[in-house]
Amino acid sequence: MAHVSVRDLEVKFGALRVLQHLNLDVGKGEFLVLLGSSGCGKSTLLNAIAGLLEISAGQIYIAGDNVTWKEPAERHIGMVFQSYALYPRMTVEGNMSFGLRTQGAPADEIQKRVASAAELLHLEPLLKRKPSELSGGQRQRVAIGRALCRDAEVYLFDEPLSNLDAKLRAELRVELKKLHIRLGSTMIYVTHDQVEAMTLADRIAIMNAGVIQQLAPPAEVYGKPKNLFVAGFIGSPSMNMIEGSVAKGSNGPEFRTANGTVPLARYPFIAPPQEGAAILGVRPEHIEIGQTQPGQGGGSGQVVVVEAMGPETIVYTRFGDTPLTIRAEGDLSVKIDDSISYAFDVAKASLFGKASGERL
Amino acid sequence: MSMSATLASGPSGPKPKRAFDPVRIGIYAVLVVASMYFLVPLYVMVVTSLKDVAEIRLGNVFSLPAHPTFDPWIKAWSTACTGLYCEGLSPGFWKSVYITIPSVVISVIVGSLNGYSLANWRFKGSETLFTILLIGNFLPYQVLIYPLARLTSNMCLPGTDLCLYSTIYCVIFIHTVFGMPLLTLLFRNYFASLPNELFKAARIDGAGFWRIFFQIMLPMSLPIFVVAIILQVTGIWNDFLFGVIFAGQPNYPMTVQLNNIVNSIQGVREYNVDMAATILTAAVPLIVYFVSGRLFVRGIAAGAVKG
Repeated sequence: MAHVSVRDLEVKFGALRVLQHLNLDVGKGEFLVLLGSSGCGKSTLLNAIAGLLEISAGQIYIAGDNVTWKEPAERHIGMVFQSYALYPRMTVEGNMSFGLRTQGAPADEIQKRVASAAELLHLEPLLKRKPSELSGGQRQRVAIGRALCRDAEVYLFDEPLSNLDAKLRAELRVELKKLHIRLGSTMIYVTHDQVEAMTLADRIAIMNAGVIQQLAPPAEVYGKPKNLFVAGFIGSPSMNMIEGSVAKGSNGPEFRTANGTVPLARYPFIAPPQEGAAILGVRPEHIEIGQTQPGQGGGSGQVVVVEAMGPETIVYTRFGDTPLTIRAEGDLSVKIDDSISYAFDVAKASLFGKASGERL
Repeated sequence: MSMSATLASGPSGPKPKRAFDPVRIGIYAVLVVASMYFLVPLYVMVVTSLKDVAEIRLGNVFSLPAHPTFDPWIKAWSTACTGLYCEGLSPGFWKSVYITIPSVVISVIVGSLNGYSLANWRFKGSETLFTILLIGNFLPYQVLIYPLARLTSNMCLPGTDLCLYSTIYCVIFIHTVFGMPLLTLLFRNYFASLPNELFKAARIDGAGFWRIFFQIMLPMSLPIFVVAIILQVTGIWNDFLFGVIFAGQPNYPMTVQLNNIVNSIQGVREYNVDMAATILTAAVPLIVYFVSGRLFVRGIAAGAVKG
């Protein structure tokens, strides 16, 4: 059985159902990221696992133990909050030892645990300080340290890096990753930041409207999005979406649009292709500037904007009426109003049914 | 002329302040008028209390005393007559202390616990309870006096004549009850303004109702406790009506004593004694304000941020 299991969970706020029939399994030692925009229910799910809100149906298991009716403190969890939530009148040491003191742990054990957590997070020089004397990054490290001091089966993170500036966020992200590798504990991490999700996660659960849209490793979420929502949510610049229809051509299935036909012979269909309206999703880096080879789909258009980022260049052009974003490596000698040709890498593209929105 | 020279010769550094800024004049005009409004009567009281009766009769209300004397103060404190007794204000002062201290302590403890549970431990019906308490803030308390007098005169120890009404416990009980709506509102809004994640973190750390209250919430709540204590001390010290109705004659607080001294005239009206007695009675709330004014303002602002 999985280390953390959520079975048929339902959470209601008044008449509003925030989560419905939600199932989730997190393996032992796994780093799972719950990713979604605000209001998608990801924090609600985390709070439900922590026991901080009333659920209206379902069960929650942690380490094989049914904790559905247990108090937060009895669930063997440690939690880190977005606002750090450090107790302002206690020193760093007091904050980190509070949970252990509450449980009545012996003094030498408290000492040992605090010392090891402080060492892990380089907090030793700060132990006697008050939270108000710390910077944002230090505060969040203390909050992580406080969670680590508890003897937890699973650590929960509720957008822990959102309040930090970009540089600190990147630093702490790396520290968190190292921490996870070193401790090997189960971690569930809520964020709305794709970069955090992609870099930290063993698996990402993308949530929308209280439903997990896709639960898969980062590469799969990015490369093989399960539906239109995931395809549009992940990736920046976002995936190009071209409307058309799937039809049988002389050389196998084709994707027909008003601006030409894209052969789908190399597209990895998950089921035998059916004819009908569809949407072709192509990531900006899977479009190559240059002449279309036979058997490839592509087109040509005028350059609208060029963004030279240094290691890569983003080119905005059109495919008929559809705006198209192309990401090319290095510095391109392309200027606004140039006419360019490009080709799609169909093997890496995604095809979705127009009506269902599901991957074909 | 070069560009840099033009820049250097222009205005630089802080903008010079005008000596007579119209905004500043306006502010000071309002402040001076407002403080005169309160200070002139106080001045008259102090000056009058230091004169003897003969000098008062000359009618120069604003003049300084020709022969300053503290006799009226001593008389007001220890020998002024209320019609029944001639013990001055001092017994009333001590009764007021005995009434105020327990009333303030009990009402602030209960009010802070109410506010804490309504803000952090929502239960079924807690919002309704809060609404009812809110309505309590707007009820004129005079309408409740008769029912409360009946109620407390029927609250007796079984098998004895010992009833709550007309005892010092009764007036303490009444002050505590009437303090509840405002104190609960004050504390609930303060605790609701503290970050909810702190409360969640404490629950995960295994702290329960009391531990969170004493170890997390209380250390963060000094400003609102100062506000509550000031409101209660001044309110209860200045109370006249509950004291005269519920305390019983031997327990009359200072305000009632003051009224009885001022209103019982034997021969010449001793304005100097009346003034001294009034200042003595008002001294406690005044001192409380002066000592804690800064904390009070900070606390009021802290409680008002979020509701």
